[in-house]
Amino acid sequence: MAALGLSMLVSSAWADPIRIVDESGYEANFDGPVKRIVALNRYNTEFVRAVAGSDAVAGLDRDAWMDRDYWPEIEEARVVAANQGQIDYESVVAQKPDLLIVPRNGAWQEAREKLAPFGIPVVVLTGWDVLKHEENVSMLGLLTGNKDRADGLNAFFRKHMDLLAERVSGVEQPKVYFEADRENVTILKGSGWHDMIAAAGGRSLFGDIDVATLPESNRNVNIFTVEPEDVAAANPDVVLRLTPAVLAAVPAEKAQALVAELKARPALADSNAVKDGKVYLMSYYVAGGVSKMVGALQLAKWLHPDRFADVDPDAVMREWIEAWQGAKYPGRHTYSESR
Amino acid sequence: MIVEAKGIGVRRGGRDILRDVDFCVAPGEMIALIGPNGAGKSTLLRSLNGLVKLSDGTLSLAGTPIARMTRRQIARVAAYMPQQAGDTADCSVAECVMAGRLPHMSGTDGGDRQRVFETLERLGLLEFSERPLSHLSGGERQRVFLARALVQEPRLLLLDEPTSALDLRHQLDTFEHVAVIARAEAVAVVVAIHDLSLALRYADRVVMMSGGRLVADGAPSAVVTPDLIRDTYGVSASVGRVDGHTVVVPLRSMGNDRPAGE
Amino acid sequence: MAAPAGAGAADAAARRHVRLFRSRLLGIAAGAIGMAVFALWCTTIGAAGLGLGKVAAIVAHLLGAPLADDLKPSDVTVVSHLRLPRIAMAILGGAALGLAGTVMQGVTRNPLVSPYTLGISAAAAFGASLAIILGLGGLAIGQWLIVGSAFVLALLCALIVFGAGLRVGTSPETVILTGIALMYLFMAGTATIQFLASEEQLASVVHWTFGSLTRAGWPAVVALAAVSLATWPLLMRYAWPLNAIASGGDDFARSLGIPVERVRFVVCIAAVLLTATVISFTGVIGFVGLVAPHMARMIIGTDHRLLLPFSAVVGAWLLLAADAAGRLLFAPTVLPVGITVAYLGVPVFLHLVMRSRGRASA
Repeated sequence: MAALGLSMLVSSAWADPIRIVDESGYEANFDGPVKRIVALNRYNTEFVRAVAGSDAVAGLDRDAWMDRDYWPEIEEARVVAANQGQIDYESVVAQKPDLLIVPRNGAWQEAREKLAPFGIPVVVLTGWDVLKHEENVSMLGLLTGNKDRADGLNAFFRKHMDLLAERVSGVEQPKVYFEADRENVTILKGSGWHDMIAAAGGRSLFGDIDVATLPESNRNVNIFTVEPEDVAAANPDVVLRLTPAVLAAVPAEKAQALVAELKARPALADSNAVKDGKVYLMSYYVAGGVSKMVGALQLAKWLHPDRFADVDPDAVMREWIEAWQGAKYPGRHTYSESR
Repeated sequence: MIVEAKGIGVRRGGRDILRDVDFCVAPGEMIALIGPNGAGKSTLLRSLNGLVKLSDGTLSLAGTPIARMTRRQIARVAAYMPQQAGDTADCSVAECVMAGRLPHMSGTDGGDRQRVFETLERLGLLEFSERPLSHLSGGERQRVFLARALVQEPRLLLLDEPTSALDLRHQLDTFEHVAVIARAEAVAVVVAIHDLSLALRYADRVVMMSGGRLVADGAPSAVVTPDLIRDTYGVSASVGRVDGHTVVVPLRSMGNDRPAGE
Repeated sequence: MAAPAGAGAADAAARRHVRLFRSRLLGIAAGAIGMAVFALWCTTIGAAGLGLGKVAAIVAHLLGAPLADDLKPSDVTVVSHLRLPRIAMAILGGAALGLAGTVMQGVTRNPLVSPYTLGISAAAAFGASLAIILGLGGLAIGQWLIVGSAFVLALLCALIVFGAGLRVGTSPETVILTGIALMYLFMAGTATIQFLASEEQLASVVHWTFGSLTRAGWPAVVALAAVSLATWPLLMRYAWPLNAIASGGDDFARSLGIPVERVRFVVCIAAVLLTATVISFTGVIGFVGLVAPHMARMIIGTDHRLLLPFSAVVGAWLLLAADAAGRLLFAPTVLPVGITVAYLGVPVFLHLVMRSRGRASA
């Protein structure tokens, strides 16, 4: 017993050095677990908080911080950047972080150069890349010495993704018209949302379009402007519309008004979706939660209610927000007429 | 002779702008260059100080062939007042005139400054010396440009229609100044001018041009005659005397059978 | 005021002229000193909480003195790597842009000319975007390749403008028209690159296009200092020819013995080198090249012997002020200097335009 205690004491005193190689091929070495991380881009910050807790977030960007409901415990002094492209290095240094993490579309080259004299490594980690979800979470677990928690988050993710995959196999896929937060703006194959719809056992309405055949002005897979007539012609079975990315839920009256407006649109008025009352609203938070896993679950429940009767997406969302993020779950982020 | 030009010609794009011109100017002489638009007056003027390159002929300034002179050397002999002189300029009078000292400037501007202000005084411009050009009237501005040419200490003054935009009084004043200077300092003056009466009044010699060639060169009364005016300008005019001055009164344009300038 | 008559009048006026010139020289010195003082104050801006006393102690330490007790090594690095190079870049870059704008305006006799209208800034932006989309940014010396590419394209643009000028004649109109045409061409090129870029490359391109002093480190400062050292004395030597060209026109200047084509060529090359060097490191910073000459002219007059140094001083002021404003107004968010200089510059410029139009009808 004493020997066990002694060996644990010894091993914790001599923490193993940690070595990681990031997306850009950069190798970073740390003497021990990292305690203070400046995490730029909301997805990165979320993952750090999930794996290592709020106190590990030494700094974040203003775009994320502005959602006060989601980060109430983080004071303004920890804002060190406007966004992942405009970083105030003096503020970063003042927070005395062990590490800065930036997604690959942030200013990581500049950050590396500016922070090198201070000995602060800059690791490229792209939290919003759903394909790298488990890899990113594991890396964060390794860095912060919270391997167990990281594994737990990955298990949480994996369990639900596997459940989805299992239950939607062989199912008939309804056509889903996905609208981002602006009228007539949808997504194409190549976008993470497209994959989310597929994972939920649906078929994205414009998922068959080959991007190469499109004019150059309208090729962004995440923001594709579509003609109302094309929507009408495609006759979606389901309409899924995203609402703004803030923690606070959309008030019921606004949600109802939005659904009414969608149903009244000439392009949609005669569609199967409107006739069957299958017009759904989902907030970016739910849709994007845990790399879109929660969104997929919720959509799956709407598309195939019989197969997912025992699944409660709200509970999963609540677990993500409360257990992993330590924030307060404000209530439903989704809206469906049949409720 | 300040200027000795023999058989000079200027060709541009296959066209003869100046052809076979013999021309000389003695110190202190004032020569009026007259002729219709497009006759080549400006070109002749601008070839005299090397602004326009000659295609044919020889030209000497103060005895030296112009081909052997550097631009700076030319600038110490000949001063040029262009037709449209710096209408966008916002510099002060003193600064503007000081630029005329460039061909002579040696570094310390004590001597240059003295010359500039003496000239300004002579032309009655002292009170404007620090004012921007845009604050002066047309007549005052013209005096500034004259001062600028004078501080160059030229032996040859080339004036391209200096009075076209001036009122009656300033036209007279300008020529009075120039005549005094020509006489007092033996500066040769060549003036391109439209106003034939002014030419008659102030010039020692008149040179009439047409189509790039010299048509006449001699005493004013010999050149500015109704016949020559009709042949060159295509205008029927009367030359007479008023109050001791010879004046030209245009009577009637001759119409299509006598095209002007040809 | 009646014209004073008498023998002493010319001398009195001459002495007055000299006094005015000397007082303007003093004005330039005062402006430069003021700028230095302002720059000193700017060294205290930043989240690290280092006031003037601490900054001074740090500078002393960098020059050899031992480190004071209340200072940490990271404080020293903040000053030496983040603050000082940024301020040096603001001063040198602002001065370079102001000077380049002034000589270009003088030699083209057009007060609306600036490095932009030669298309240089647009060409530099295009060069940087090209390097980024070719993936050069990811290489080890990636940042230098981007800088190099921006610089090369800027020079190429200038060569085209002057090449066209040599064939058609370097009249002010030719230079400006060719420059504007090239500006549109390069802007279209950059927009095309933005279309074809992946999301990260696009973010990189956009990030570069926002002029910012943050990127510039000591190597940039040294490069700019070298170019400035090579060009400023040259431009000062041409002060009088610029006076003649700006006030009298090409023909008149030629008649004074000035080699106008050569002056225009050398001056423009110098201006292009200065501008290209600045923009390659900082991204696109507009307005300084346009507004600094006008502000300088309004205060110090049109004599290029005074105007050239003073426009450098004004340019430095503008960029320092824009950087300070960008850092202070929305702290801790830092607005890039390329943006704030437009906010500062546009009202000033509009004011100048209104004023000059009011005076024009003389």
